[in-house]
Amino acid sequence: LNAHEFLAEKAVGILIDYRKLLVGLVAVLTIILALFIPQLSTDPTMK
Amino acid sequence: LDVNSDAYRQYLKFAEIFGNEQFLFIAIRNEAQLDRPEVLKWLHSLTSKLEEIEKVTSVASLSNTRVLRENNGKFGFSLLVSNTNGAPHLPEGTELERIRAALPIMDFLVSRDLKTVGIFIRLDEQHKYDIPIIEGLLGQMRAVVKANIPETSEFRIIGPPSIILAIHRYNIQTAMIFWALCLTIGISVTVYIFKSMKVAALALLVIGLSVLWILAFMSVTGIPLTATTALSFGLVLIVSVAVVIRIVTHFNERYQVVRDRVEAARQGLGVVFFPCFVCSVTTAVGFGTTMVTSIPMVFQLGLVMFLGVLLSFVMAVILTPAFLIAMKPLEARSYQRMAGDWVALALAGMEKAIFGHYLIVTVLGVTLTLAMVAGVPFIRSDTQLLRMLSASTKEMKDLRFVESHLAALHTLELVIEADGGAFNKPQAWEKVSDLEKELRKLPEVISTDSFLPFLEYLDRLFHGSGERQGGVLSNPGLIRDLFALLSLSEEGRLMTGRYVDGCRSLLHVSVRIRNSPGVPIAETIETVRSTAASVMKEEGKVTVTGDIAVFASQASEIVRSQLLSLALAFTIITIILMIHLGSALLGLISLITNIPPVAVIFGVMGWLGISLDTITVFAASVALGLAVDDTVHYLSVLKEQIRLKDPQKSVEDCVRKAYSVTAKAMVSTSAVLFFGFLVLIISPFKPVVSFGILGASAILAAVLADVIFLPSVILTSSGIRRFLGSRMSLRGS
Repeated sequence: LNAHEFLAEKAVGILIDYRKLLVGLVAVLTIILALFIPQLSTDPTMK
Repeated sequence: LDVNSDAYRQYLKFAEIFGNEQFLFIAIRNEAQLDRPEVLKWLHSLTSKLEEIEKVTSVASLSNTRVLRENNGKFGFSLLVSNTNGAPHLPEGTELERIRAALPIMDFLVSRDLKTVGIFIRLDEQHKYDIPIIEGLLGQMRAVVKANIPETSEFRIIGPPSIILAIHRYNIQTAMIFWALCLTIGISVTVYIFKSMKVAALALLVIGLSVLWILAFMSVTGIPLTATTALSFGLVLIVSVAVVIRIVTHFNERYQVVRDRVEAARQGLGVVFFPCFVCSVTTAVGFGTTMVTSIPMVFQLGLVMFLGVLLSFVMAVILTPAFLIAMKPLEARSYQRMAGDWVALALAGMEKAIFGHYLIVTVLGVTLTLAMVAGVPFIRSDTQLLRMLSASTKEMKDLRFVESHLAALHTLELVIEADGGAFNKPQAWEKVSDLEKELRKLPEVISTDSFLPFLEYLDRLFHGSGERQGGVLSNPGLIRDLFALLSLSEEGRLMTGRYVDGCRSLLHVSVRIRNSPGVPIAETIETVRSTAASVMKEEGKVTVTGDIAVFASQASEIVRSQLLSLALAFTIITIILMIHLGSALLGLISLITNIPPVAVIFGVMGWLGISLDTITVFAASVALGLAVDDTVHYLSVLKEQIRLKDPQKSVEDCVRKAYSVTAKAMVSTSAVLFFGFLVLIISPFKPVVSFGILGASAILAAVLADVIFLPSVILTSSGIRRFLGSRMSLRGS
């Protein structure tokens, strides 16, 4: 295997074996990040 | 807008010396002619009300125009509209014509048939790009005009601020509609391909979370939601759907073999993970290279898209396998329906055609690519704000209304910089007279406005007409005297200040242009500048400025930087592919399929007359980033087939297997991208429509190049066959 193929295999292993943990992590981060969305600014001035 | 650009600095200097050209213009068409006192009365009342509006610097209409003339043996400025026994009236015909010739602004204030009047409203320069303020001002002006004109009159409000406002509004509308339609298309294609609402819901979840994270990233980093960054959501959406489709396709394929969801996900993701990662990187590079610009909005779009594409990849590879494992597997009849749908049948038919007639397909592909390349010399670049709006928009109709009833509103501001006091001398004004004559000969020039007609008017006013040869230019000291006389009154100083500076070394000539659709604005600007420079070469330096010139210059800068970004994207993507495929030759083979989409973009531009502008120039690098995805997947599977070192298999078998594994996913993801781009044709914004057409054409070219052309070229070229054959034997030994 090439180095990048080896890394890809490892990454796939992590994505499958720790899928529940990763999905949980995404869910928690999504909730945290969602709190920042109201601060989104708009700039219609075209500056 | 790059406020540090030379063009903008020149414009600021011009505005500081001669006053800003930032105005809104109201044109009012009446049933009754303007020589009726009641018409002049409401015009006076309307002018006064408009002057009361906050942030309005000045209002110029017939009712407050003051002209220098003789009154009972005395010379002085007085209102153009006289008042006799409480009834306002205009000067009689011949005098009005004389004043019209002396004051070019009169063309805008009253039409020749006296039925249309115009009002100039100058705004504070600092509110130039302030959309909420312009929106508020326009609302107030509409209300004031409606309340003060007769019901039978019709009116239009137009000017650079309202055009900018319209472009901003259309941009946001387009971004929102684009997002909604891309969502619909992405989900519809997913449902059609996988015959499953669950998979569609999964795609929706990945899309939703990707967009939410991007919004959060923008909030945290302080990137505002603008007309360009809003467009990124639709693009991220179609890219993330493509990754989901590929993972689900390979999961389904493996599940039918192993019948275990975890193992199917592991094997499916194993096949697709690295190609998908490379695809996301190449797409991100395609978008990311647009950051090579000095325009903040374009940089922000590049950054948001770069991160958005990579983020959607991460979301897709985490969520898709996890949910595919958790979900109930698809029923057997779903697989049967998938295998028998018209896409599968069409691809099977195409397979026969490709592998039976690959030489003909190759020749056809090369011919079409060359035909597209032949269109490149016909590409023209037209970078101006007004070209962005289609003829059916309200703003363009309003502009035509003003132009048909009053005069052309497109002007270039010519500034001549000479030695101190140069414009006190008649010799310099003789050159100005020659300049105006030469400029009027240019096909794109309608007329010129300078201070010379007013000087001639003053000369005739003071000395009578006809007795002296040469007029104002015949007497060496006369012009200096006229300037001295004008400087005695506020009106005189204001009038002079619009055209000549206090040192009499800078002169402003306004050039009204046709702005014909067939003539690029840069060409007109250059023709005006070079004509002026050749006439005034002994007097001083000539520059062309004004709103049109500033926007044209900025847009040219974007086009230049984006052509650089295309070259950068092409190089980086090719290097990434060489590394990914582990072979320089395979990397170069991938170029075979990258050339047709780029050739199609530039060929369509040339053949269909689509202008290279600030938005269409993005199409090439963006489409290249997207188009290369299918190539990556095809070559990855081909490489995998070669590596299987099956002695029973020939190169043709490997090429055929790679086709059968990847073709449906390539067609499905390309369908999402194709329709995603195509929906942009609904935009009222011409470059966005062109962007949609170019993007859709490039995706179509890319999918044809990957599905049909690439296998055919591999089979046709004995060199590539030998190379792949040697790789197979090398692997086998």
